[in-house]
Amino acid sequence: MSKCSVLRLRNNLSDSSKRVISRNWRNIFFALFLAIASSSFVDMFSRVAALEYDAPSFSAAILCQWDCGWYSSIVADGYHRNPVAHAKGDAANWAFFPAFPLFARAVVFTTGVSAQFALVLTSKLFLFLSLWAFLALVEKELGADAKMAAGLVVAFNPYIIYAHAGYTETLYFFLTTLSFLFLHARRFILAGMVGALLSATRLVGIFFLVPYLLYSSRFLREKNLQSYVPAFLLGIFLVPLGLGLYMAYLHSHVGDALAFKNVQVAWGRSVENPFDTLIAGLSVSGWERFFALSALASLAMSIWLVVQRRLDYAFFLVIVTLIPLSTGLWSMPRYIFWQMPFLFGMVIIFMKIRLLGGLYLVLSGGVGAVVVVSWALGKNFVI
Amino acid sequence: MKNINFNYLLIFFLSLFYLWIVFLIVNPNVSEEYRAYYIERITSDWRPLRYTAVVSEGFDFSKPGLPSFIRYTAGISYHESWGRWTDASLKKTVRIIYEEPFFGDVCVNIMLSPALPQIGRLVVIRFGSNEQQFVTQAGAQWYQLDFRLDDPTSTLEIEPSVSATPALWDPTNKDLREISLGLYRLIALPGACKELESSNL
Repeated sequence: MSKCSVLRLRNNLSDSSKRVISRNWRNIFFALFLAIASSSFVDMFSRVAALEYDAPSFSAAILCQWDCGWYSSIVADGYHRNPVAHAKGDAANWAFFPAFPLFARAVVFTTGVSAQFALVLTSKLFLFLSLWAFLALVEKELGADAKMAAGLVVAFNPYIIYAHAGYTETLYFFLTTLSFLFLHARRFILAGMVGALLSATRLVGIFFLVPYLLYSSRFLREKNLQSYVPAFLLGIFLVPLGLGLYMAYLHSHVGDALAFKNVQVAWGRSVENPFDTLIAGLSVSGWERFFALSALASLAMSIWLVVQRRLDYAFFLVIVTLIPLSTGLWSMPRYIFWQMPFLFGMVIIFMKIRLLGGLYLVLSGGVGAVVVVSWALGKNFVI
Repeated sequence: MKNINFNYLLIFFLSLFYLWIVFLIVNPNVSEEYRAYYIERITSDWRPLRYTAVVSEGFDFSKPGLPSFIRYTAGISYHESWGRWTDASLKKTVRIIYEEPFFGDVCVNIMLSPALPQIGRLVVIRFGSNEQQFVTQAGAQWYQLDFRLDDPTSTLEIEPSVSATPALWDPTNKDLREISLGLYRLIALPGACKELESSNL
């Protein structure tokens, strides 16, 4: 394209389009700044752990622990054909969904770095994209004033370590935010396609179908309903595609389409009544009570979102809280603090009571620092 | 209009794909052991240790792992130094599958000790379509049962009357297993019990 035609194109852009582009660039720079600040925060406290507690200094191997190790096995060697891990030899990497390791595999392919480093890099990359998408969503739904709070609750999430440790959290957050953005813009096929990636990232991703269906109530009475229906229906059918493809793969690879669920027996997990799990967690002391309180906070946030008439966010949050809760309390805080509707609800609260936002940020930074140090020390309560 | 038709065409193909996935879910292509451990969750053994033994030596539950003549078991808890408990939380009826089937007269000797609620209650032993029962007594006891198998059968089942978590009689016990019979030894031998006894004499 010649210089002349670029200038002509620029002149032809309407003022509103120019504003959108300029706003988008601002969001990109702000997201980048926050992603770097968040990374520095984690790096700083990892150095504290190394200096004060003799923790090993952060490298890809230290960052890539626990679940990241499982993803690393997928990136390096693919899915297990037979169970091989744990003392009984009954664990396999089938429980870990394919979208995240596939993105990391692409990083390995393009850069030649190790699987562990690629996973860490991928999660950091998706932190930046999560920030950008969340800023765009909040700006659209709550206004530009809410962007600062939105950026800070993501970048200084108390469980920020997962954005830098080769976990799915940031990819999941990004895809959730993007799918809601497309849904609210009535780009149903795009929402369905992103929903398909979401269902290939985590099992709960398939429950994006619930807010998707709820959203239909907004346009059912519109006169031009006919024009929406085909794309809307196709979007519904696209969401489970990621999960469906993974199940088809598992059937051909292992012989069991539900191997991702059935292998949970190796972790001693079985499906229970989530409310029984919640009550049991609240009635004991120690970390389990804290995990149960996190789940309770998420359910309370769902109610708050209902009050705010954000039914699609509310129902999605309830479902994605109850499903992991039905298999136990372990890992609840990271599930909750990386749920987009949960952080969205917090932004609404902080916009109403700004002092609370400031207090939360201090508390969140403190918890985040403790979690980073604990991670460096290999404490298992942060997994 | 063309777009609309294309969307519906995609929906049609996706529907077929999901129907195929449902078919795959209900028809897993896995081994019996995989099905028992991962899908039905009726056994606590996954690729257990195997020790060499012959059928006449019997199944010694106090040894870790399974004897070579047993293919797999269901409804039995993990190994303990004295033997293994039946566990109804896995499966109410214990199932023991032999590698080779039995046929004709079979003498089953079983040594077991009932948990408190099972004392004085009925235990049903099934070998194929044949069924025998006995009433348990307190403590570890031998029980002898005669079977006549008309068809080759490799599955032996043990069905206690009552299973419960130990907390029922010991509130301090936090064991979540639903136990009933403590299994010590199981010997199934071809031939009627009386004939075997006389030949031993």
